Parts: sequence; C-alpha cells; structure tokens
Amino acid sequence: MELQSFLVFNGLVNGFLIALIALGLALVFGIMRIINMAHGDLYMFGAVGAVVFSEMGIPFWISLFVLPLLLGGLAMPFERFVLRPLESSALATMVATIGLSFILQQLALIIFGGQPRRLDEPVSFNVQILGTTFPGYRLVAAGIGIVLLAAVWGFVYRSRLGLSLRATIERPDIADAMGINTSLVRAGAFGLGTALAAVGGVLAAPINNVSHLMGGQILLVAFIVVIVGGLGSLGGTLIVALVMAAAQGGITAYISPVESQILVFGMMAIVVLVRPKGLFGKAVA
Amino acid sequence: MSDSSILKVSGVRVHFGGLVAVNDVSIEVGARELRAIIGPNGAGKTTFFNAISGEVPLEQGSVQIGGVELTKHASHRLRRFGLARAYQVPQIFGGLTVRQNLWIAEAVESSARWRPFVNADVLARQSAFVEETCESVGLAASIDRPAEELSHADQKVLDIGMALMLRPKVLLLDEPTQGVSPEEIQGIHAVVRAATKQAAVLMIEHNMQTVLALSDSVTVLVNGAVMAEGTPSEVMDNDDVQRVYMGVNPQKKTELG
Amino acid sequence: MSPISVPPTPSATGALQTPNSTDDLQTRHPSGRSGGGRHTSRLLFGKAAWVRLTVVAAMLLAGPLAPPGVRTIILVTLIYGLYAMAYDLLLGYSNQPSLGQGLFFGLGMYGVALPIVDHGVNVAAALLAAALAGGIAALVIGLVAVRLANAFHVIFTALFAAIAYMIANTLTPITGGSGGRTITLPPLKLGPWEVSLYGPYATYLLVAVVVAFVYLLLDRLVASPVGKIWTAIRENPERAANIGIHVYRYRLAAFVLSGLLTAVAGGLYAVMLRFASSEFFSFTWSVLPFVWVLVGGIGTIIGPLLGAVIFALFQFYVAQLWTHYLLILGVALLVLLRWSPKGVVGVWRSFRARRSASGKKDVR
Repeated sequence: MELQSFLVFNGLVNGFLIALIALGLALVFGIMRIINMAHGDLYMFGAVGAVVFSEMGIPFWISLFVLPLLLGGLAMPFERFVLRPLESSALATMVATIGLSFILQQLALIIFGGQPRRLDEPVSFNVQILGTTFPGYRLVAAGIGIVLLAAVWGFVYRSRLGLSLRATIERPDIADAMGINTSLVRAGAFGLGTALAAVGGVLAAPINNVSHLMGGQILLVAFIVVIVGGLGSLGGTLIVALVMAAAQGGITAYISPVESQILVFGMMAIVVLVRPKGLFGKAVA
Repeated sequence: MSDSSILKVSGVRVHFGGLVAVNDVSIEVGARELRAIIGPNGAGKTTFFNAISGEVPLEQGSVQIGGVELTKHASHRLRRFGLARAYQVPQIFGGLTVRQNLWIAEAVESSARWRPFVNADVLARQSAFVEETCESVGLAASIDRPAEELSHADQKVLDIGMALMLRPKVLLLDEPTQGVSPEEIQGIHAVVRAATKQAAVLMIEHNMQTVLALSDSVTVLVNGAVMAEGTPSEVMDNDDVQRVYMGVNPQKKTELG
Repeated sequence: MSPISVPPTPSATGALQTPNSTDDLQTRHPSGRSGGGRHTSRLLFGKAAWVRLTVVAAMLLAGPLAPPGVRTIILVTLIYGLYAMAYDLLLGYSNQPSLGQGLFFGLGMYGVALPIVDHGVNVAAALLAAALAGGIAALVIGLVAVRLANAFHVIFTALFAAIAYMIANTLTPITGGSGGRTITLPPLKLGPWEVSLYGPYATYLLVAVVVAFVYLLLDRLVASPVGKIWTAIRENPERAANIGIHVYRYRLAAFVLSGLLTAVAGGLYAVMLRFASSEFFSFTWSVLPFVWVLVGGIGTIIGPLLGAVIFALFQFYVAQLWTHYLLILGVALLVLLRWSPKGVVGVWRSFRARRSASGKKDVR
C-alpha cells in the first residue's frame, strides 16, 4: 500500500512536468492548430541546455530563467518567417517542424554529445512522504510547475494580453480590426509554448537521463494529453496530464513500467476513438 | 403546386448554434425550369443549397427529387437520385486535366473503376460523353490542359460541366457569374441555358442581368425565409423586395420615375 | 560510385501518358468499347515506357555492375525506395500523413524473420507471410485510422507504432528486443532451382526483382481509374465525395496496400541484414519515408524513389564527411518548403513547363 501511494504520488509529480510541456503544446496545437513535431525536441533542448550550461559553470537557477526566454525568443521569428507562410497547409507545417526537429537533435548531438547524462540536483534534500523517502528536488520542480501553470492560466484567462491572445485565435479578423497586433500575438503564443516546453526540459534535467533523443517519447505523450484533454481546453490538458501520470504511476505497482505505458497508451487510443473531441474539448473546428 | 415539379423542398430548417440560417423554406421546381434564388448577403442561400445537397444537416424538412426523399441518404449517394451541384468557388481537381476532371465524374459509377491496370487516360479519351460535355461548356480547346491552369471563368464552367456529367435531374448552381469578367458572362449564360435543356436548374445569383436574362422564376430569400416568389418581373416590381433587397423606397421610386 | 540516375517522368498531369501516340488516339473514333486493356499496348513504345524500362534496368543491373560495397548501398536504397513508394500511396495519393508506418516495417521484418528462424520456412513463403501480416494489420488499424482527419490521423498512427515498439521491446523472447535476432537464410527455392542467398548477387537480385515488380505495378495502378480517383480525393476530397466517390473506401484501400508493401520492404530488409530487431519499430522508421517522399515529390511514384536515392546518398556519402548530415537535411527541408513544396520532381516539372511554354512543342 505504501509503495502504491508512493508511486501514485511520484506519478503526480511527474504529471505536473508533463502538464507544463503539454500546456505548451496545447497553446501551439490545441489553439493555433500548428502541428509542432519539434515540441518534444524543444523540451530536449531545454534539458540539454541546462546540462551544457551547468558544465560551463552557470548555476541551475539561471539556466531555468535564461533558457526558456532564449528558446522562446528564438521561436518567435521561426513562427513568423518559417511557419506563418505555410499556415494554410497542415502538412507543410508538419514537414517544417520535422525539419526543425532534425536540426535541434543534431545540434544537441554536436553541443552535448551522444553520452546520456543527468544533472546533479540543484537542491539536495529528502522528504518523508507517505512512509518513504522522496527526493525533495522533485517536489520543488513540481512546485515550480504548479506556479507556472497557475501563472499561464492567469495570463491567458485573466489578463488583457491573454484576452488579446484568445481573441486573435478565435476571430483574427475582428482582433485585427480592434487594433490588436495579431502577428505579434501569434508569434508570441508560439514563443510561449516553446518556453514552457523548455522549462519542462530544464526542470527535468536533474530527474531524467538527458540525451538528444529524449524528445520523441514526450512528444507523443504531450500530443495524446492535448487531444484526450480536448483541443482548445487548457484545463482539460492539465487534468488529463495529472490523471494519466498518476494512474500510470499507480499501475507500475503491479506491472512493469513499459507495460503500464502500453496500457495507458492503449486507453488513450480508445478515448480518441470514442470521443475524438477529447474529454473537455470545445467544438472549435 | 403542380405535380410536374421534379424538385420538392418543404419546410427545411437549418440552424448553427443559436442562429437559424434557413427558416422553414419550401420550394418546388419543374423539370425544365430555371429558378433563380436571390437575396441579400447572409440570407441563407448557400446554406439552403448545402442542406439540399446533404453537406449540412437539416433540423427538419424534406427534399425530394422525383418523389424520392433525399434526406435519408449520405451526400455522396445523392448523385444517384439526380442531384448535381456547382459551387461558388469552383470545386475542381486542379492537378488533373479538364478531360480527366469530367471523366472522373462518369467513371465513378462505371465498372471501369475496378480495373486496376487499365490506363485511365485511354479510357477517358474513349468517352464521347466527356467530349460532348466539354464542347457544350465551351472548353473543347482546353480539354487536355491541367484544370489549375484555366482562367476563373473557365474553371466555373468546368465545375458546371462536372455536374452535368452526372446527368442530373436537378442542378444547383451557386453564383455562376461570380468573379467572371463582363466579356465572359455571355459564355456563362450560354452554358446555363444549355443546362436547362437537360435538367431543372436552381441558381443562386446576385447579378440581376443574369437573373432577368435566364430565369423562368425567382424566389427571394431574406433572413433565411422566403419573402417573395414569382416571375422575374413580378419579383422586381414587388415593393417589399425593392425595399429590403435593393434598398429602394418604392414610393420614392415612382417619384423619381 | 554509381548512384542510380533516374530520369523523372515528363508528364505534369501525373498520368504517365505518351504524347507520341496521342495523335493516333485522337483520330480514332471514341468508341466507348470496354476493351480498354488492349489499347494500352500502344503505349509500350512511348516515352513513358522508356522511363519504366530505364528504371527497371537500372534497378536490376546497377547492383551486379557495381563494386560490392556500393552494391550494398544500392541494395539498401532499393528497399528504401520500396518503402517510400508504399508511403506515397498514403501521403501522395490519399492524403493521409501517417507517422506509424514503422509498425508495418517492423512487422514485415519479423514476419520474415520469425517463420524462417523458428519454423524453417523458406524465404519466398516468409515474404508472402509478411506481406499478408502487413495487409491484415493495416486493415485492422486502417478501419479506424482512415476515418481520422489530418492531425488525429498522425497522432493515432504514431500512437499505434509507439505501442508496437514498446511491445516489441517487451516481448524479448520472441523479438530479441533491440539486440534482435539473427537469421540464417535457407537457400531460395524457385521451382527446381535452389539459390543460396549468401552468394554475391543473390540477395541483390531478389530485392531488385521484387522492387522493380512493385514499381511497375504501382506505376500502372496510379495511371488506372483507381489512381485517378485517389488523385481526385487528394486534390479535393469534398468534391470527390460530392460526385459520388466513396472516399473512405478508397483511402482504406490505399492504407492497406501501403501497409502490405511496407511489410514487404521490412521483410526484404530483414533478408538483407540477416537480422531483425525491435528498433525498426521506432519512430525514426516512421518519419524516414515521410522525408523521402517529400524530398522526391509527393504523388508521383518516381519521386519517392528519387527521394530515397537522395537520402541514401546523404546517409552514406555525406555522412562520411560530417556525421551530422541530418542537420543539413533538416535545413534542406525548410528550404525546400519555401521554394518548391512539390519536391525534386516538382522542380523538374516546373522547369520543363517553363521550357515548353517558351515554344517547344510538348503535349501534356
């Protein structure tokens, strides 16, 4: 029983990180309908960047701040000049982001090398949770995740900029007429989505093994979470990420991690089949 | 009305979200009649067509061609009951030639489609009907050009040609003269006139000259409902129509003479 | 070093028709006979037939004529080409951007490997078994996947492939996991002849014959009514449905055929490597065909072959200069999207279009 609650708890903690990355994708794919095949690699680049920065002597907390801003900033011209001209074709967008994926993976390979490694935890302490010792850093990471999730939610649903974002996405012509700089808003949304993935990557660097290939798995998971959660629903994305990760964690008490992954993927496939709109999706075509 | 009508639409209602786009519209069209549907923008004309062709679900109402109820069938089956349609923005297969575009419409229902190793182009060239239809819409000179290379007016006419290949009993034309230059409009008129020899034609139009020149009767749709119906001159003289559609005050008009 | 030089098809309309015999056909009265099959024999002497002949000859001869190292590269390229052509059926001909074909590729590998290793089945039968397995799996998955639109289709197929990858990694006793299982190939039995596949040319010829056969098959198929219907579905699916095309059925047919052929490609790969591993179910093997088709040109059967050749050149030669050739490829993709979305074949065709527009007589 203790093992199971520990695993569920661990899963939940992971869930918050997954939620961060999935939220980034929800902005980009769920709302802007950009099929970003490089989203996982942006996460990877955040993690790789964190390791490389640390090997250069830059403290973790600075990486956490700088890398997302850097990557998000670079993502904006990418959206504007590479993706925007292709927006009429979903296929072309997919191809462009696959190209980006290749570029990011190879750059990571060049800068980081092929040897997977992990960052040392920036804060080392243990916490007694549910009868077992739990690495404190993971709680910190989850905590940061929660704060960021709340901040993004507040931004999108409560701030004026967020309103501009939602307006631009739902009715770009009206938003334009109202004087909103829709071009900047769209590039900014893509940048924000990228930054969220990067944050997830930096936070994950002390937890998971970092390699130039780590983006693949997370990409699929993120897409599944966004689709099952429902396109257009940020809350849905969050809930599905947490439930899925916690459930998967719990299931590993009984079967191996790979098998639980298969089971969870299988369940998600069924949900997509039965309810393509997702659990909380709005019928925004 | 009379039982010689081939198309009977009754009580069709379509709504999107909270908006009623087509409100209880009924229409009957005779076998060789050309009925123009006119009305201000947003009056629900294209939605009405979409409801007839099954591209949009109807909330209630019935659509019958020759007595057969269409609403129970999937839209891709409707050609079997004699329905064909051309679109406001020409819906053609850009990468195929004019000949192939026309031929596909024929091939889809023929046994040829199941033969995997027959050369499609050779089959297409054997079809007299393709060449006749191409001729009748005035595209004989471009028959082997890729459809995407045609001018807008030619593409519109190809769209109509494709619909004609289905040998329809009822043809829906959505703004056949839209985007067509004044020199080419006569060409379009000729094609539409030729079409009426084969089928009942329902035509959405904004161009009043076209309406007056071609139609046997006119239905006016405003805000999703039928406001007036009659011959072209009756409808043009109708006060309500003048007020709503043409923005003219009938009293004032008589003053101005 | 002899990369296969394949002259791409001259026609812009996707129909590999010959201009030369058009005159004859036009003076013929359109008779509407159902004997269409007999007329195609006239085309054997036209331009398109020369293209086909060249390609097939190149496939069959390039290997034996090349030094052994290069022969292996050409062999790999042929298999890539098969995989790419199969993928074009999905991407180019029925507009289904799948990212899960790795499932069928891996299935094909094991579909050949397991019968041979565990049950001593002969190679030809194993290939047929793999093809069948691929087709059935594609039917099952396709029944659902084909109904899904763009992004959903991508995710769904990727999801299935990921599940297959994980299962393959887990079922180590059967699949050997990523370490894989080695195959000892029994001699190929064709009627009275027995050919050892360990000879210098045997494997190459086996692969080349299969790939050339599939090429000719697909070439005919896309010029047939089915191919035109697929093209129509790709160009304008709503209009296709409107004129009575049962879009779902045609797409499903493409999906199944593609899965079947992909499995054959996987099977041949296993024969070539004498090896099968769960790694071939991975995402990379689902993305590669996408790249090959895009680089070469969607919706032409020659384009993907070309794309596979270009990629193989990159993989084997550029990689020796710089291991990170994928970076160049990534940049090349972005550039290609900007300037020629139709891939290399697209560039060739627009070049020819410009030439013919400037007065050169060239009936399309």
